[in-house]
Amino acid sequence: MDEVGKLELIREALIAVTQEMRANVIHSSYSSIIYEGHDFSTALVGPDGRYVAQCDGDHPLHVFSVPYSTRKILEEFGDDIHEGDIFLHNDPYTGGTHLNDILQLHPVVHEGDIVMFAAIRYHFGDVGGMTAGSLSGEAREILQEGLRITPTKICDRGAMNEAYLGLLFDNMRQPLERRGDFNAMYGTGRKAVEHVRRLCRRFGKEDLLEAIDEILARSERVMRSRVRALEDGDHYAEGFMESTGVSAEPLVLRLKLSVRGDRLIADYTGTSPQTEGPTNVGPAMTMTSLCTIVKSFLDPGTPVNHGSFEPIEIVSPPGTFINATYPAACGGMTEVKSLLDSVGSTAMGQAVPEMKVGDLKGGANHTYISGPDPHRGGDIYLLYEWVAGGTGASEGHDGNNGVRNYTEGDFNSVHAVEIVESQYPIAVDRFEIRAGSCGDGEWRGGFGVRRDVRIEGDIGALSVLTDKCVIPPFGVHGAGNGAGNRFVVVRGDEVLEPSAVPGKVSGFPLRRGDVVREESAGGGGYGDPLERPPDLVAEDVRFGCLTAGQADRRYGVILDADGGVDGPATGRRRRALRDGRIHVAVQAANEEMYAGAKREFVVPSGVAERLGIGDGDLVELIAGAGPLVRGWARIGDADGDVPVMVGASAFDLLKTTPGGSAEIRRVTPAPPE
Amino acid sequence: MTAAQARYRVGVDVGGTFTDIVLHDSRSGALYVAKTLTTPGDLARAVMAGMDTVLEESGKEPSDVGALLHATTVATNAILERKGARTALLTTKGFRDVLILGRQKRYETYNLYFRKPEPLTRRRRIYEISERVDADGSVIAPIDMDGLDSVIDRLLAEGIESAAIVFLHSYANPDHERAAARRLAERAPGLAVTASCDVSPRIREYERSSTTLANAFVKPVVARYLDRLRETLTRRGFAAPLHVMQSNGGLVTPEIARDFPVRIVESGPAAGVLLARHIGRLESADHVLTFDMGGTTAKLGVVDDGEPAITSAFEVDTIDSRRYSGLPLSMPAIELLEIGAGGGSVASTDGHTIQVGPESAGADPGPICYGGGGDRPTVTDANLVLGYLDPENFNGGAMTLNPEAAEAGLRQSIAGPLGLSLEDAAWGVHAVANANMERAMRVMSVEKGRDPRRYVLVAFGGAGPIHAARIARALSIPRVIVPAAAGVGSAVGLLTADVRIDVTVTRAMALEAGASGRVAAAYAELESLVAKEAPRLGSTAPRLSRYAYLRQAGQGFEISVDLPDGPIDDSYVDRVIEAFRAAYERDYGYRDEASGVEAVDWCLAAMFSDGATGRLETTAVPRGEGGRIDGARRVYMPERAAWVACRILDRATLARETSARADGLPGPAIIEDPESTILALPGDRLSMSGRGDVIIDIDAMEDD
Repeated sequence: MDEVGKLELIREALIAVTQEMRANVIHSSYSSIIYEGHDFSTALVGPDGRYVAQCDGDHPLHVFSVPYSTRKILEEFGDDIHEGDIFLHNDPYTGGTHLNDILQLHPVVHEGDIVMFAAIRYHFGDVGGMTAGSLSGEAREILQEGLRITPTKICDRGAMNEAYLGLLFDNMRQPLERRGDFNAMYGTGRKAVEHVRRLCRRFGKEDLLEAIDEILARSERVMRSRVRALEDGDHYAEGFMESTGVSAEPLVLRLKLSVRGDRLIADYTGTSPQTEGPTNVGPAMTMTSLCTIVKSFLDPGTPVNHGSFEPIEIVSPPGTFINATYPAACGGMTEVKSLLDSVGSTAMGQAVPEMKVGDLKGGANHTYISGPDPHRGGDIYLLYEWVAGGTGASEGHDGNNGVRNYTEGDFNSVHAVEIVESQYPIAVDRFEIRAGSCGDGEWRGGFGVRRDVRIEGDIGALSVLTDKCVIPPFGVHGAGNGAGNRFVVVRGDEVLEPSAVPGKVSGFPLRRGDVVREESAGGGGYGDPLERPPDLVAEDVRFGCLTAGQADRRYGVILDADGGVDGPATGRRRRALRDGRIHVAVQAANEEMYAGAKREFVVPSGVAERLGIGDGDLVELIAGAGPLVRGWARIGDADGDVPVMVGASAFDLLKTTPGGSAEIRRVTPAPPE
Repeated sequence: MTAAQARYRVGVDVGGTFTDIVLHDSRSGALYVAKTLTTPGDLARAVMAGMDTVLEESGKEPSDVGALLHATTVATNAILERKGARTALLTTKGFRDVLILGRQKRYETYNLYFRKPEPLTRRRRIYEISERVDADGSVIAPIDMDGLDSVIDRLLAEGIESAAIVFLHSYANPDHERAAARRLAERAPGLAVTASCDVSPRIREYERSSTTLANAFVKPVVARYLDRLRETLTRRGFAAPLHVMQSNGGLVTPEIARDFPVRIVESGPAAGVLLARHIGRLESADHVLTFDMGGTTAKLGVVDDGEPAITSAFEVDTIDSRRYSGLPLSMPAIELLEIGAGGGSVASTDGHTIQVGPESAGADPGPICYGGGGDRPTVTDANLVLGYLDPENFNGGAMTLNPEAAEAGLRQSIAGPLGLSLEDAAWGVHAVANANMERAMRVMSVEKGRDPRRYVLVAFGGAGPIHAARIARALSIPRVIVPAAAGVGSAVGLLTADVRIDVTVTRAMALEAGASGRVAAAYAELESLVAKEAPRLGSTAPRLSRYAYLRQAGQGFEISVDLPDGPIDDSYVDRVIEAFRAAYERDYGYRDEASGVEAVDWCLAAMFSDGATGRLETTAVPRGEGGRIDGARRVYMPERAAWVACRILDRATLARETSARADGLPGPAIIEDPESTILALPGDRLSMSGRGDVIIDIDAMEDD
């Protein structure tokens, strides 16, 4: 089909279907996580399981995996798919995300053929399991996280399987709300089916299907041409989850991204095995994350469909925490997805150097505060928020302060203070920019957010699930890291850590007057902070986002009494800071030097002393054209002029050769004073 | 005599590109029209030029004019260009960054270079005041007047011109804001002050802050503008009262517009929807979708049951009409959706697809075919190549278009890179613009529970009537109406407006036994607000109309519900609940008698008029001498997969031809108006209504 006009009308009409679905869900759902939080997405999928359309606001995390689920359903049911059927699915091992996200898939049958599937993936507030909300850091197998639904036909030619539904809702908390939500999905799917049928009549079935093929083919051509424009080569990236969910031991994610002509091959071999805790994902998530990143880097402007993803191939070994198998718990999938995003953007930043970008906050910052509801005797209230952080800097752009990531859809963050105070026995004492939290750089990362929430009831409980509390968001091109996420409880003068492993808080008991202090991460910076125009640093001081001391120690900018830049003093200070940086020779060890998932560096004691570090402290190496490399220090005996010893793969990351020089620095999650 | 009763009334719509003036003689129905280019440096200049034209054509003197009704973009432009006053924000300690952090939402996924909306002031001009009120309105901490005084000293030292005051929960207890405003007035009398409890006493601190700050930001600018306009009009001999259109579709006096300039942000587009309401009433259509397509944007609106749909809040300065990309204004306004698709929208290609807009060639340099130096093809160029526009008779013959240049531009920029024929390229541009508008029209209709088959589409603006029939067909809208003087729709709409104010207060409550006292208190408060403003509107006895934002307990979305009049007692609460259930059923198709109903905002509209608006009858007086049009030319109709011969006529010819034909004139046909061109497709039927509106009955739907 050559006719651009008609193609465009069809493409817009398909997007309009998903927009209408989105509006229907928001207006008819019963759970605040949907109508306020927008934790759902809608999509249209072709008869072969290819992804045809989504709309602005839909979350890639939900929808990019829908084709995987759809193909499983097609495999399972083959010819047994008819008008009036509805399928359910949430199994992470065959294309699901976590069990709370349930997919309803409605086939559209026109003139005897399946022409499309209307898909709604929707976060159910509860799907059974060991705790209210179903997501628990304590989960050790998927059976504790609720009901697992492998491809299931719930409605057969219009006849709903009420027995199956009854069993589902009987095993979920708040079954009435769950049924209301199920009906919201059902009504939305039904209307979407009608809408697509109207399009079949308007454009003709054959023309519509042909147009879809052409729309996808065009997107594929765009993406292939963008990939072809990149230089062939291999790009490495590595990142860490802070904990296994059971202990403070990290997990490692490793990626080799190869550009070959018009293809991208992403190989995750070397990634940690699946873990006992809930930070695992099924096979669809690597694809979801990488497609999101590649789309953002190479073709952000055009509507999203499967064509863009055809050039991407994924190798993710089964049994790793990014391709987990039964019975791994998968409740912490957003944390894994964030790490996949970080590592994916690092690799793509190598392939498209002008688009390198500082790292993001990591994790969802799920924060649950609950307690007895004073308005409804015997019931509890639950305040559920996801504090947004600062975003990463890029060339010519500082990051944004407190905003959702580019890999997230139209999610909410925190609620209005006045709404919170009207509806919960909670007072908000502060809601402000987290001063000093930016990743320093020529372009600095965005600032995170500080929110102080005070408990006004007699008792309460706090749960938090996030990451990057210990290993903060990294900078690029020599920039500094953003401050890590931090969640503490302030009781009088005391600051309490609510969990042994930071960011993994499960039901910490709260008392009246306790203040939960939520501080979200700042974005990673871009470029050398000593190159940042001093006026911009002075402005951040004038705006109260940095102290004069931070301007001095972090940016080498000296301000005069009026807050203006003292040029000569700044020049001297910057030279001194530059001279004070610690450069070391880096040499390859005979082995890869991982202790478990931890990459280790052997740091000579003299260097360690200058850095002020001991065994087990986190450091990073910066050299060459590649990304920085992080590792845990093992202090060597030699204090003379000996190199830092690293595993050979570190040179693939750094893009340097053994024996070269690198800057070494300590990494801490707290914003530098 | 009230303004509405005057024989000669003038509507003035100052838009971004054009200033439109209409003078209406209510006795004869004659309507004199002038369209001049807006003069950004001194907006009054274009206004006076247009005035001279209509006065001359009508043979009237300024002193004959009994009413001056005005819509203006002055407030909007100050916001869009960030050219307002040097403004400070005073807020509760601990919440300095509410405005900067905003909703933290993202309006665009996949964009590494995403920018949050830029607030109207910077962080260093946001000052914290120690004070605290809780959600019930109880004072938790008193206001620190000494701290306030030292902030005032700093405002004065920094040359601040305007101050906004937003304290938490001031909708529940405004005392601290009022105290701060009084102190500012005493100690800094030259400073313009806006308190949130006066502008928008509604819950949600970010939206309220944004609204209050916007008011403060434009206040000095709007005051200067209105003073200058008044002075210019007086000097020219106009003695009639001036009224200014607000976003809610009501007129107010300049004094009120000066105090609450944020209320006039959508002034012009709101007047356009009023025109559509008026046309709907005359043509017996209660449900109207409005489609106003000009040079830069297309604006869509809705009239339900004879009244414009009112939204409780909207955004200004959005990017591509995306939600959360602009600055929220928590303010009742006529519901509008504006997208970057106008006649001047630029078409481009990435080698695979065609994009249209949001960039516009505007009036300068304009489309290629204008010959004003534009070298990038626009929607207007495509429409010319497709034969929809007459190169010899554009803008009433005032302009000649250059089709060869348009063709060359389309070949170079679109057809060549995509390997398409010229007509496929032009059609592609036209169709992409249609697709954008179709999607927006769906947002206004289907996504909000409105069935387009129950609506008529009123199309106006210079470019609207070319695209209307196809959009109607795509959405199954059965009828399109193109009013007389469609090219100056907003200016005509002004003539149909009431003097109206809307006041709102947040009183969140469950509607249950015993709630009537609080409801009555809310309305007593609202009525006293109206009584305070009424004398300035030249009347003390407005018609009051209650409405509220209500929701099903447990759901997150409020809907606007018109409430009954009458005493507020326990049975009144039951009537409110019933009104909600009926409205909910209309919007979502079901009733849930079991669930409770909650109220959030209570509102009161006060209309000050004598009902004169329904009387407006117009007969546009043709500009210039131009002879009657009756001919044919070849136009591209993909509906027929070909170039087809198409009748070309004007309204007079159409009227003559269809006066004796009950089934109307069959499409395809083109009606050429002085300021716009109307396109009817094969299968459509064209006719003239008794009052001179062109009616297109759309071909039986392919789509039901």
